[in-house]
Amino acid sequence: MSKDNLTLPVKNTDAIILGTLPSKLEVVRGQNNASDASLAAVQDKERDISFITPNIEAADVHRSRSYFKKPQNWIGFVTQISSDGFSARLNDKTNSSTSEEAEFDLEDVSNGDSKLLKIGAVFYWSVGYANQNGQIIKQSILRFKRDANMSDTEFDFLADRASELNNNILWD
Amino acid sequence: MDNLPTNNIFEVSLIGTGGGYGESVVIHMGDDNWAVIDSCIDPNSKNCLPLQYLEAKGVNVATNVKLIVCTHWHNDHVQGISTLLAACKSAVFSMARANDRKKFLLLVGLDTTRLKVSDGSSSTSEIQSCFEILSSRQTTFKNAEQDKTLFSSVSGKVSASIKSLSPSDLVVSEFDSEISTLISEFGKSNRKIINNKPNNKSVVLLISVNEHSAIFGADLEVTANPKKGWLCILDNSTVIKGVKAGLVKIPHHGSSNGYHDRIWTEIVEKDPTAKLTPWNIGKKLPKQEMLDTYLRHTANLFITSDVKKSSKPKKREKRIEKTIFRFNPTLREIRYDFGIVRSRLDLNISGCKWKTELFGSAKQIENERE
Repeated sequence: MSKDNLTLPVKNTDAIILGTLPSKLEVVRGQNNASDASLAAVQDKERDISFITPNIEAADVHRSRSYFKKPQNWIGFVTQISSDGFSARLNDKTNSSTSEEAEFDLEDVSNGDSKLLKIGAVFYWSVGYANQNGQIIKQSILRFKRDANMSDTEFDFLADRASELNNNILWD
Repeated sequence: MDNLPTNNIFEVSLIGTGGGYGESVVIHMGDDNWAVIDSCIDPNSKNCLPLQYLEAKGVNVATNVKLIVCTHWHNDHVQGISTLLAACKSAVFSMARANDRKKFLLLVGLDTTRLKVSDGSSSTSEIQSCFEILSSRQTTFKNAEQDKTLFSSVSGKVSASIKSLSPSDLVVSEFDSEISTLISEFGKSNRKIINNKPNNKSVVLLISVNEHSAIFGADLEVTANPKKGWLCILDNSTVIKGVKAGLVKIPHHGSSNGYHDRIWTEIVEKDPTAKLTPWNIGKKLPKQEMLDTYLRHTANLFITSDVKKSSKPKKREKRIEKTIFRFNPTLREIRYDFGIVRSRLDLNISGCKWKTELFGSAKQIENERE
């Protein structure tokens, strides 16, 4: 056996027969040419096939990952406070006809809002379906209104207005 | 209901809304002179009910409403009052005296600015609007206090006057201190300004037309301190001496803290015409035992609508109702229940008694034991 002709015995019909290097390269070239032809055939086929968009409903597009879907909203104010809860009068933000009243547990108030719970305190209450990262859940959210501190300018404006009213009204 | 009273008719109409949207009294003092005590609204249309009542009768509100009194700074007594004042261009406006007016105006302005909420008008925004109207119109503001004449008129055979019997000097000076405290605390919280015990500052009125008198009790209460409340009126008022009112608007929705036997024995005649409005939010008023008490004083007891034993939730889409019920089954509607108790007497008939008619949900309260 010469060094240029390395022939290994064939173990099975699937084995790659290693012949001479030049003949091996010929084999590979042939395989490439065949695969190129196959690829070209697929590409031709693809040009003829229309891509059909699957029929799916347009999803709600929201930028945040969590959101309320069509909640019922109220604005309320606290009328009474007891040891375990509070009463409130509420107005429906979507339908401002008759008012409503309800009792709430102190547990409904988040820790951050607890200091705001006083008689007369204003709060927002929303109830409905929420989408939290794709999971639909029923939810109730209660949060107390926070006001930015009035600026000195605003206060002075109101004080001036009070002065003006005082001067214009004919007090007996 | 819409007929205009003739000049010889003294008419008192108590308008009620079911105990959640206010009350108002519309008075014809004879001679086309009208006065209105407090105001209320229809929560559905937001219409001012006393104004609607007057306009439906064909009253020229711009010229013939002579006085509007705001008895106290409580939401259920001021809804729509600025609309009323805007329409009644000749009316003098009156409410309880505040000594430091600028400070009071500032307090009202601060609270109105803070509470820019869309929950309908708040009491302070209504009062603020009234002050803006008075300022632009440059018409008179009458301070109501004990034994003060707010209106008087003599014309032909009709002599009419409206006098305030409260608040007392002590209550006024306490309110002045309270205003200062409320302003100083203003920046510290997000809540509506709640003035302390507004009922104590209520303006009680005595309306006299010829020999007839009527007392309007607002929400004034009986307190332990005889320098406040009803005891102060009974002990110190000079204008009430010798008066026996034939008609009473019962104070504070018939609650026990608005009752004192001396009111009924000293300044009210026997078997008067008595009327009241219910309160249907939280604690329900009047309680049956108080109705029984009033029935001992008169058989002519009327209420603008029933006290509701229970309320139901508002009707909504089924899925919303289910979700609400899951989270808070206590939510219930404050129902609107319109009623008028109208009483008239003829000034031309000597010894004439009040005749009362009922409209809407108004009814007479009768002794159940009889």
